[in-house]
Amino acid sequence: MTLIKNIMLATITSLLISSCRFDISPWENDVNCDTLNLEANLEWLNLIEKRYKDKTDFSVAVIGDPQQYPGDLELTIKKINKINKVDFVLLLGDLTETGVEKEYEWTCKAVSHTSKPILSVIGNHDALAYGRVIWLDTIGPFDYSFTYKNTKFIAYNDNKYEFENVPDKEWIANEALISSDETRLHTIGMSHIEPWDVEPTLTDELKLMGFDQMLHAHNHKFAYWQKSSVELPHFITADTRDVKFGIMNITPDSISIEQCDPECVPILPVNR
Amino acid sequence: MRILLLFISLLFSVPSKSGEQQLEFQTSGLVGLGHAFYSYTFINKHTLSIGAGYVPELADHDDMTLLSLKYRYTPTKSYPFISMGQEIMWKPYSFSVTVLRGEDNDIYKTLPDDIPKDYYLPSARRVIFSMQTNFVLQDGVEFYWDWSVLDIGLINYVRNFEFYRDNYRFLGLEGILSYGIGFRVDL
Repeated sequence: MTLIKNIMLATITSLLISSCRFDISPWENDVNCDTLNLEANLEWLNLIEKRYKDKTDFSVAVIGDPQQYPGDLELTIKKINKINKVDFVLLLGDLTETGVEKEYEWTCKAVSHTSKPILSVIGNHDALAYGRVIWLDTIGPFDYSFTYKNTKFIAYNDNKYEFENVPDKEWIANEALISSDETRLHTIGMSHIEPWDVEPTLTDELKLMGFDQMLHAHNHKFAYWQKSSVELPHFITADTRDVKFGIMNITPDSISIEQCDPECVPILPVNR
Repeated sequence: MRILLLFISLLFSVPSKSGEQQLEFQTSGLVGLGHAFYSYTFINKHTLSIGAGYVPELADHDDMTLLSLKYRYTPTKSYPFISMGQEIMWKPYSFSVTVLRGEDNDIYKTLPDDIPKDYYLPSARRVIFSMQTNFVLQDGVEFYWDWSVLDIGLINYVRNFEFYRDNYRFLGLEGILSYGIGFRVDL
């Protein structure tokens, strides 16, 4: 009995001193992370908008595919923190490689150094295993929109292998509509994947819906293109490895893109 | 399947006199709330195990059964000590690698037909790397403490050492380790 008591005591002491995590499976889905929560970040963005209500020009950092390299994501976030003109960050998916709880927590830890709101879009890898459940519980909806300084941002899920009936074009079209009492300067779309090859007319449809600029990730390499007959620019940001990101500069009259690797240079869309 | 067959044939092809059989039970350490292993140790330091575990229903997924294959290497180094009149043999470390498979509809063992071949690795299969410290009691009962790291955790730790070191305690290991405890009984 004494031996059993000693073993129990040793076990309990070990538990206390090592701040243990007794994960019962790789597929747990209880992620402890507030940093990426959409609702909290949109509230934060609302405060920023009110604080600088007279400022009409603003910039947005565009990052994507940080999976497997939380260290580079942390460095990217710290680099963006120093760029004063950037008001918020768009994180365009693939926060994780295999969609498990721990990966979400590492990404969360990496972005916890941010001094700007972060608004995320789900990537294909994020939906693996129980990733979609984690996303809904921790971050928020897959499709959402918000308006900042009269520019509407519409985020939609287009990960078609992991979800059925995406993108939800009807929802996107409704969100893109300008209501009679609304003053809107630009409409910007964002999704993880650029229009798939099997949907060659999606960019045409998006243009007809009223989009002015599209933002994506997924390819891990920078690209900036537009269909010459449509002229809706699609910017694809590279992964964050070695600190790569994009900056979108918005004025009431224009949208321009900079590619940062890590120093930023302006780029123009290539006609396809 | 081929790995499983090879493993089972290895497990049963070793002459019975050359080793010892054990039953092992572990909780947590990424292998379930409970996981039972049948183990076979040969040449005193190599152990092959086959196991089954269980994860109860969690907030957002059904209960899940787990199947595992494990290889463990235990160096012969050990230190006897006496605690409360009981002689205990401490084997400070052993190392293992476990292939774990979850059985649930939301994770897949092979890619669904609508996803191109080799697009992802199967999400129902994971590899776990573990270290254990073992306390052998005289009557053939062994308790152990287990530190486990998921495959992606090990990969990320190697690739992003400074990130883990700067953001987590114990050289960043706090960020990737999961703990488990268990015991083995000689058969």
